[in-house]
Amino acid sequence: MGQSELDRIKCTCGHVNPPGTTICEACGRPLDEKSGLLNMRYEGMARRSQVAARTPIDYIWRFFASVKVAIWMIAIALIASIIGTLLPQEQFKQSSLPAEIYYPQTYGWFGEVYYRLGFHQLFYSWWFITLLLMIGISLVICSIDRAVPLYKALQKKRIPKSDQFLRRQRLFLEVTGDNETWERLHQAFQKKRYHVATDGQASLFEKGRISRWGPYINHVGLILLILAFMLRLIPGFYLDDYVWLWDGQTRAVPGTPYYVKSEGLKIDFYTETDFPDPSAFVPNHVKSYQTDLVLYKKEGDDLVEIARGPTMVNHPFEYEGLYLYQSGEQAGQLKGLKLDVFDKQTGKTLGQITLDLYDPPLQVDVGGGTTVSVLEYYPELQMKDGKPYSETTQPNRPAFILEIKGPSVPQGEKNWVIAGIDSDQLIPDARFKYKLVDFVLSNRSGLSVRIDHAIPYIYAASFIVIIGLILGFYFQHRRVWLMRMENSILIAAHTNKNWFGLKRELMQALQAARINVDPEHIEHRRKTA
Amino acid sequence: MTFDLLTVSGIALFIAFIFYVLSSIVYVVAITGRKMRALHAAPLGGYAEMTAVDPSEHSRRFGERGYLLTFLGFLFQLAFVVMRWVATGHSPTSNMFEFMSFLAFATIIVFLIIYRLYSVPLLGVFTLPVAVVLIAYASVFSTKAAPLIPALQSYWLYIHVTVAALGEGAFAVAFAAGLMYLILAVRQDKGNIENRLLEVTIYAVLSLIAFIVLTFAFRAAGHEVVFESIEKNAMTGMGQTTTYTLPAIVAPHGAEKVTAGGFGPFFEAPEWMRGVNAGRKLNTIIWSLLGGAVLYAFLRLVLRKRISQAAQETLKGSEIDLDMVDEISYRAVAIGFPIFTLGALVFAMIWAAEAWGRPWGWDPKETWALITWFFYAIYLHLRLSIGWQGKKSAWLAVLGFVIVMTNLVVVNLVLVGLHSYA
Repeated sequence: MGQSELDRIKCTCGHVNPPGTTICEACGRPLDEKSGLLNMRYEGMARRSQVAARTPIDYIWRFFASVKVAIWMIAIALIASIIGTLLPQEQFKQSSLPAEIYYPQTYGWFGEVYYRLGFHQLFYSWWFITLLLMIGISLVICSIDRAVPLYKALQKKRIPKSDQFLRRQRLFLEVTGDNETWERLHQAFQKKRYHVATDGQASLFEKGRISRWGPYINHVGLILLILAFMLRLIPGFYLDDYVWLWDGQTRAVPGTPYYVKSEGLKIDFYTETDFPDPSAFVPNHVKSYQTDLVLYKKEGDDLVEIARGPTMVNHPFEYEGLYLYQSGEQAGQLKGLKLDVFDKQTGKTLGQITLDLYDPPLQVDVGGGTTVSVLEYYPELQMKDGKPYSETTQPNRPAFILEIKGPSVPQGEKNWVIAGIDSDQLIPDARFKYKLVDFVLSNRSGLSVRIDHAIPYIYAASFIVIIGLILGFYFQHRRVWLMRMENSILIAAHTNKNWFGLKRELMQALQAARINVDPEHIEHRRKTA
Repeated sequence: MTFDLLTVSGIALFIAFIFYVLSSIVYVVAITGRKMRALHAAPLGGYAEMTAVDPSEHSRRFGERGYLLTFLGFLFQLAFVVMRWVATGHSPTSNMFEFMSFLAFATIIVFLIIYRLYSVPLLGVFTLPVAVVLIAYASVFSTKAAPLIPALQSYWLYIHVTVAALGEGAFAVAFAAGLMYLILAVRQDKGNIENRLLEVTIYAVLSLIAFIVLTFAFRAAGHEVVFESIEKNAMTGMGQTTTYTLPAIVAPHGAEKVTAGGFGPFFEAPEWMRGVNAGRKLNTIIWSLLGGAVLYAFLRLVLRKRISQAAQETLKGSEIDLDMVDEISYRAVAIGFPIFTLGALVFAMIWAAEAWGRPWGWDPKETWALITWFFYAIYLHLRLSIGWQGKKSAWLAVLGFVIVMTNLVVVNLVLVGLHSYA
């Protein structure tokens, strides 16, 4: 540790204390030359961080062991988190626009600045994650720095030999009393379920020591929680994907060897009788979203069913750690067009074709040996420099270039079909015309695909955090010291929290030992404003 | 049948509200009456026993009466919670009305416990009004009971929201005790930063009260102003309409008044305010701040001094142990922090994992729960490790509850996210 003998503090009792000690390890005599209340934090033990820094490690240790530094880091994380909620984060922006356009367009100059500074992905930025990791390191070092000396101090069960230790406690009184009083006091505290240790001239009564470990258990839990979230970085531990399924459609589950089929999206609405107050009834109040799923595995060229069942909001479909969540619903979406193939020369309809707008066929058989091929498909047709292109992959303005071939047209004829435009106006001299007969409507279910093997560890770590908090906040470490002087008995008490409760308990014990004092006279307070 | 139950539950909440109001008054009497009693040694009533009552006995006696009234109010609100739960089939924590009144309920529970530990009547003077305002604020929102949307159909709704509310109730008590500490401890001999900040805090509370009063007054009068956006929908030829229940000071951006005659609007909301009903929200905020200013000015004129100064003079001499008030505020945080962690973070993570497939996703509500948690973690470290006590600690307790309310109100109503259901 590189501490010099010079820094060590020798007590009048002869014990040599490590640097930074404020209360002698052996006799309990305060090592400062002040008067007033004694600072009982960490039992006055020396801490690693108090050693005069000599090596770079000392400096780093001292930095992370500082509670002030920890508070600053938490405060920065707090302010950063507030900034991160001022505008929606990228994953919540509910717009298909790219971020660099969305933010300035929606929020003006503020959105521009927000985007430029990278705040649209603040919680996944390198600096925010570094900050959280630094808080984690601080948790480890602060805990070790304090828990180790505290453990040593409390395990030794020091019974102080110096009356100064007692005289400088917040709760202190000196009473005249004989052996009988001494005994009665012992009985009174034991009755209050204090553990007692005595060396004849001085006694220590103690209870609820476990409360002292609360903060450290809590901190260990928080460290484990950070580590548990980091488990996701291990390949195979975490999968986060999304798949849209039409009713009846089968698609590969991204990131897995499985295939999933939707047997249909079901949307239920509440009826008037479901409302506790029928006058408050509103139509189209959704009762449930459900998609019935079938999960397949590919064996050779075949899909073999391995599981089936529903997925509902709050009740995901599960198969061996793979979860499929009902998380998107699109009812009655335009999926395809039904067209009659009409021959203007003969005035006859050759047949009907169906064009899927999401997965258009390469070729459709019209019948009688005639086929229609899809040469080009533009889901959202736009023209640029006289050339067609598609703005997006969403069928907002679908357009096709079709070629018909058959016995009556062996050389074939190419036609444009653009939704919403009459082809007679577009290409007046074409022989064939595609007449829109009907729309194909269908439902789509959006499924979140998740594998998260870190979950049990996250829960376990959270459990430890809660245990630590309960021990730390709902239990109190109370200690009472008695010391026999020539003609009097010194009584002092200390707690890590709830002084009011300790004072009340002390008064009850004093009463039981038939000592009458004014409660105002036992408490010695720090000067407060 | 169930409809009746719903009506009865509403009556129970109203009775609880009345009890809380009465209890607030009794607690004020417990403090101020004792001063009067000390001043006038002569008997006030015809009862012989009254003459023997000394000031601290008076305070104790009225404190107990206040406690009894609070407890009765608690029983009625418990009846409200149970009846509404039975009638709707889910815990009354599913919309703003239910949640805000449940928060008042949680605050009362924590108050009943803390009061048993410390018996400081003054705590009631500050806590009961918090519960009263919360219930009044809750009533501004629609009280209609609707069955749960799919996202809320989980028993975690009961566990997560009720436990989180309990933690926040404890923070509300810490806020009340912190405010009480500041009223008592901040120097009032001349204007300084601290007592001005205290006035700002009081003004904020008055604005909230003004908001509640104005909303109810204009609702009772059936006031309505309709705006329609100038830009029309290409398909329907109709504009988007916004209905104000408060008179229009400010119009939504790019909209014109449809309702004939009447008051305002005087200007239009700035262009960047495009959120859902942004114009109406801005109008409401302006009314609240104006109303708060009127209330504040009225009180200043009547009192002829800072309100916090007048409050301090009323409470001074009630022999309140400042250190105990400081400890109560801290103790409330200490009680609330583990509960809040469990309810608002741990249970929230478990539910989020079940509903959305991830325990944590930086949704604004989740993030604000974490911000709240960070804040109280800072409070505890400053207090326990750095030694911040007294006024500094009290300011933090006040600010902490402002953050809690930000999460409950602003995040739900203003920010976009998964939790904006109310």
